Amino acid sequence: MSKRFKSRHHDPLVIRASTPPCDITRLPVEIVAEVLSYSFTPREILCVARTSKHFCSILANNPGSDFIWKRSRRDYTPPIPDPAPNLTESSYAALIFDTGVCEETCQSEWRKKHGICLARMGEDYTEFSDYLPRTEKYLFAGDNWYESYEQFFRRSDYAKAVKEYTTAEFSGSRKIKKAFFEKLDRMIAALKPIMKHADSMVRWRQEHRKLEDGVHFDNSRWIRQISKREGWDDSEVMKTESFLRLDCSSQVRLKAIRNADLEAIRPRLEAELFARKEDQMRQKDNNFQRRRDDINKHYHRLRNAAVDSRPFPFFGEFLRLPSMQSMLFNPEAGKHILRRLKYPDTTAALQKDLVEWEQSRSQKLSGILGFDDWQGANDGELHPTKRWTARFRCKACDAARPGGCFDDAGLSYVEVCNHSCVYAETEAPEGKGEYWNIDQFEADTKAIQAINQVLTQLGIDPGDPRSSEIEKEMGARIKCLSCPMPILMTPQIMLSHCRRHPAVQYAVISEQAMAQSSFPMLWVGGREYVMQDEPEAESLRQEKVISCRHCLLAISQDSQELAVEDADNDVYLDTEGNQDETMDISEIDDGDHSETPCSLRRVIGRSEGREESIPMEGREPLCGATALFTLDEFRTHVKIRQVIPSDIS
Amino acid sequence: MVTVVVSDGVTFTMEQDVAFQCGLIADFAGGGGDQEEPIPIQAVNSTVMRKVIEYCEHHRNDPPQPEVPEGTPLERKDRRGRDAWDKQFIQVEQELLFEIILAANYLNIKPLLDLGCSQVAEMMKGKTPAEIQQMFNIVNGFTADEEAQNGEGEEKARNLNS
Repeated sequence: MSKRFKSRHHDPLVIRASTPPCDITRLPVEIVAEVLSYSFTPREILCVARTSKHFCSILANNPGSDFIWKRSRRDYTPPIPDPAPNLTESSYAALIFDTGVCEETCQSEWRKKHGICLARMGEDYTEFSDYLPRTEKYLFAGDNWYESYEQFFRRSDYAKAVKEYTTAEFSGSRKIKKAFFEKLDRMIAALKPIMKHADSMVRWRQEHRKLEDGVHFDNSRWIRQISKREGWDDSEVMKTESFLRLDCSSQVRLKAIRNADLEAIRPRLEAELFARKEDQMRQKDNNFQRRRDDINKHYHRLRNAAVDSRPFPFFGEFLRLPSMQSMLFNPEAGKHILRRLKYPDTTAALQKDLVEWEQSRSQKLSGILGFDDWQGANDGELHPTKRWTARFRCKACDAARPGGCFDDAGLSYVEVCNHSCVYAETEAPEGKGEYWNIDQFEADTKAIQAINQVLTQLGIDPGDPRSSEIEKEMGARIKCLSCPMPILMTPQIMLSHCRRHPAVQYAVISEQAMAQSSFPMLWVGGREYVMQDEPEAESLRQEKVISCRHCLLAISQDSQELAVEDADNDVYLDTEGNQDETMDISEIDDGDHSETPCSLRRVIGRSEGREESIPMEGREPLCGATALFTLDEFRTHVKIRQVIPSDIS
Repeated sequence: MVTVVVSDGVTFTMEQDVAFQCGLIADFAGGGGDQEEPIPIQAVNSTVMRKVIEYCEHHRNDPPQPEVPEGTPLERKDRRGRDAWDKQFIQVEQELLFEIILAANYLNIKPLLDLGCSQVAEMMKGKTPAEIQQMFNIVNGFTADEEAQNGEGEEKARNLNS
């Protein structure tokens, strides 16, 4: 450090010049006293004394300024008693107004560890009580003051006194004993006024506390009225930091809050109220989201454990169940909602809700199927929704898919209950896909007619419990009479296939006929299966398993113009009207994964709307009708034949 | 008429009823007629003297202030003799405020002294030591130990205040 720098920074004049002048310290003591005579409480005088050494020397431990403190104590409400002889005015003010407890004597823990009760002293030593400092007669516990009959001494003081007494008593010296008892007398004389003062202080505190409580009560009542006028939530106002500080300061001053005080803190108070409201909203949202997440976890647990044959609501519906609503919208549900969801009463309520939910679904869907007034089963007759004929379609899904749901199998009862439609227009808060509306469904009449045809031929009533087993056990015994080239199919495939013809006709063949049949079996989805990147599909692609239905058809139909609707047999033209030679099977896989010939038409779409059917008459098949191809061979075949296979048989 | 000369040599002439509100000038004049000799007032400068004269002129017709008996509760004392004009008058820079108080004390103008003192009291009341220090640019001058001891007290005081 340079000499110049040092000298500049150690010159008191430089420092004095850099700090603004302090004019208040120029005031003589009598003017300071005059200033402090303006309703300054001892606490406020103490604050002034603590501001600087100058004021400390004027006000603290200065007998010359005692009149300032005395005047202040006298004018305080309630008047503060005189200090004990062992205290100066300033230390007395600090004792009264600084917070904390002295030696924690009021604490019962201290009494246990460091105190000894007068009542438990040995009879020989009770005389010590006169000269040992002890707790006050009046004590404060909880919110009450009471007169204590148990006064406590410091254990250390007591031990010391006993030791001194014993030493003097057994010293054998009269002089020592006399000196000891003289000392005791002096101590007793000194302690008496101190203890008297301590008792009066305790009473003063009691009175002061009552006044503070009164001010607090008035403040609370006043802020309630103000809150009502201002449209505030009074309980929230009373929790704000600015009001708490104002209330506390008002209690210290023992003056109720005035309008002017409120106006001074109003901007801050309003900001705090706003922040608290925001905070509560955020907290509310967070809590709501947490409860929702917990319910979601529980939902997935239940859903995973649910039986497939029974409907189970999707999450949006599940949340609307009364028992879940009570959990979701009840802020008192608390943090441990997952645990509460497993309580027996909650589980029972949820089970009841699920049963009611299913009944409601079942009733509504029966109405769609034309069984509004179905009153119950005769001899085990199946409920309309439990039958094989309970087939539905989602209007929103059908409308949303370009070209319609040509090859879609529709929905069973369980599926329709669980159907969360992403296309349905809804203003439900959960959003699309979380809202179920009966109006969005209709009966799948084509599927129902097809099923009825099958059941009629089998001689089984749709309400017969055996009918539900047909679907699973029948096998590929259903023959489509509407297709130009007969194909066989299972009941499941029939549900998809039935939509290909305006008025589909099916025949049920016997099991024996099925076994002997050379008709190909329709494999809906076979194309996608063969094209997928799986080892099994890979090996299948190397095998000769693909046959050309167009070739089969060319043989089976001699001179028949193909129906436009029967897209299986269409020959597609490019936009120039020429046959598209670039089409191959890999192209099919690029776009739509639908299994329908119609969707094929869309994938190839360059000829969409320009397609024409051309007669096959006179065209020579380029291969044997029964020939089988590997995939590569089939691609070549397609190029030569310039037809697109729709299904693989 | 009474003429006074203040510390920076400025001479002020005022009417007797205005001048005699200052106990010091009244004592100088001896309660008699016009004073020809200017009265020297070395402890007050012209800026402060102008304010003092302004105060005295405003209150020239006020009835004499009754003596506040010893033992008057501070609550009542706090409210004496402060009207709107007084409040406006005393809203001045701190430096000038203390100059006015010292001048009022020197010139023995009790109501003005009370007004100044009550203004300072109002500025100090309800404040923590730190706030008072900041308001009046007070350098505390405590040693580190004293500061720590005070800090403990201040903390307690703050708890009480808040």
